Amino acid sequence: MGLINFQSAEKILFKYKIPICRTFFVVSEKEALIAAEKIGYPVFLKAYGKDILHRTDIKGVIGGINNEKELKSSFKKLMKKAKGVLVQETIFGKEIIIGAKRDSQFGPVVLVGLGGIFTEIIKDFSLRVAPVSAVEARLMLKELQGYDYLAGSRGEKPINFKSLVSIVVSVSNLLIKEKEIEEIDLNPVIANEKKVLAVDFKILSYGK
Amino acid sequence: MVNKLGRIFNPRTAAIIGATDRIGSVGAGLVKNMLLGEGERKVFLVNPNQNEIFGRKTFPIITDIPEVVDLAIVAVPASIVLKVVEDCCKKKVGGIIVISAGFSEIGSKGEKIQNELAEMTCRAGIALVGPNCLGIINTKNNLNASFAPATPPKGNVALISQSGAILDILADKAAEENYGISSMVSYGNEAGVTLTDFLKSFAEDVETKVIALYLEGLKDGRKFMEIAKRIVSKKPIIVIKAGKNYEGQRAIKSHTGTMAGDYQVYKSAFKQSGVIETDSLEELLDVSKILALESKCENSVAIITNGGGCGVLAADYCKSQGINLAELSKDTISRISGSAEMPSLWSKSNPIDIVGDASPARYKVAIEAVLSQKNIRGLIIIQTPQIMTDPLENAKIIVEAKRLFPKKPIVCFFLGGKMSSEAIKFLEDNNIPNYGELKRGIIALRALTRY
Repeated sequence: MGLINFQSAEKILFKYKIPICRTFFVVSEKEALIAAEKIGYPVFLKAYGKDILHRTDIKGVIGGINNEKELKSSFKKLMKKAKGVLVQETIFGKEIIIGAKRDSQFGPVVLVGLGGIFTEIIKDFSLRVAPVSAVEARLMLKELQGYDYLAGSRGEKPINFKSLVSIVVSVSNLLIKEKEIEEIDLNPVIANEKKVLAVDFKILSYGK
Repeated sequence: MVNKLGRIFNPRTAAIIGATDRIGSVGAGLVKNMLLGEGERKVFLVNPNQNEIFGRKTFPIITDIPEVVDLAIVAVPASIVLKVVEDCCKKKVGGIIVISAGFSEIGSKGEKIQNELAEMTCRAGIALVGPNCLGIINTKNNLNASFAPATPPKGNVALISQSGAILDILADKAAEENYGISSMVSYGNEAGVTLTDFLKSFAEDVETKVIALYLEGLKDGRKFMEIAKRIVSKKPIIVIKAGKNYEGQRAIKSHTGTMAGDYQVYKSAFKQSGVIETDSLEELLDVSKILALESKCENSVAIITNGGGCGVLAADYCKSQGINLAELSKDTISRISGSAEMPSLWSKSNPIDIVGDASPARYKVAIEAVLSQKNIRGLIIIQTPQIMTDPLENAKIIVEAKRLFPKKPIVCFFLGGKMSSEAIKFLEDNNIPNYGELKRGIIALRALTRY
């Protein structure tokens, strides 16, 4: 079982219409500058390598990069830790995790939960044996203890549930159809009232 | 019960191979249990080493029995099971239960013999239950083809268990606490008849209203879900799942992999297929009992009590279980207040506290008024044993009320002990569930309001 590379993962997500935030994989400073220009500041830089599973463990994420100068110095720092860097647009919103895996008994299962610290500490998620329909995906979200947080409280607008639901359904379809894929993690997915985008993702496949 | 299990559950003749009178043996247990139902079928004992068992003539081999044999029960050492089952196939028996252990559960060597066993019976077109099981019970026709220590009373709950010992407990407990059972099955290693075959068969069984299941693991999770989904639209399936450990040892590669552990997936699968999951064996029986005796109702109930404290506790449990307490209508309040039996200090709200010295007549007024209120769909009746309480008379009033309002479930809590035992028996003989503990019964009631 192995982690598939960024470009292949991006291709699979694109195939299933799973939106990801604008991201470029770069290996040189020049490429990084061009990418940041295209995306527009502020940007995020993230160390990238097939062997890096938990980026935060190696302090491989630098956010809030506002200009070329900051970009250059951050790029240098990250290249000491990895063979490449992701330049990524900055999106603000609520963190969500969406994932799927193959259970030894029931086959593909799909999970959606609150992301970030909620994933690690509160473990607020709901789970289904795939396939899940849009109706079922809605129920999964309503089951979350943090549903009200996503629905918005005190005058805050709800996140774009329609997009979120369609991503859950797509992840379910993806695992059912792509037999060589064992596990997928979209973590975090960032959701706000307008859009829902996968920011980080990991796809594990058999063999490779 | 129709289908291929018909002759196993309803045999007119049965043979026990490995029958013996040796005290403490499986063979002797089987003989003892099978002879209990001798009025309904002929029982033949097979043992090549003993001419007589309990004063009855034995046959050295099943093929010597001069009649058709519907059910063959095999309890011989694993090493000779194949030979014995081959004889059963020659005899063209209707079905075989292999009690003997020593098959796939002991490793690859046992698994090989088990596969041969499965192949042989499959080729002969004979249903095979087990191996490595306790056997089966069908209370309707007094069939106890198991070595369980007790025979449960007749009723409408089918119990299926992966573990034989758990079935022993449930059989004994059902006998002690008067839980009505239609059938019991220990399905063992599923070499022939599988769990899903039993589920399908109980779905069709007219005696069975509820299917209760003790489960450790499934052989085919998706098939289970598909069949369970179909059955629960007709009758409820209640499950207790043992082995809730998470996939802790696995290398942590993704968050999804870590969180979606084995048990979490089972839990989701139960929920998706409409199977009701319970937390303990007691809860499994409690929930099964209420679903077997009462019909489902809308989520709006009332509590009548002769003890304020118990009323408050019951209301708390209802709240935590998501059971809604209805508001009393003006009509109901004035009807109760208008009765000469009722003291002015009754609670006038739900829970309806009719005060400690409540007489049977006072219970009657409250019960009838409350059940007459349309939007009250179910009723909890609590009786604390006070010196002026008349449990049996109260039980009779409840049975009468049930007759008048058959569609509204009533759950009783005749609390305490000895003072109410006769009344409780009267209630249950009249199909009204009683629980000795508020929380247990209210958890069970939840299954009624949500199923």
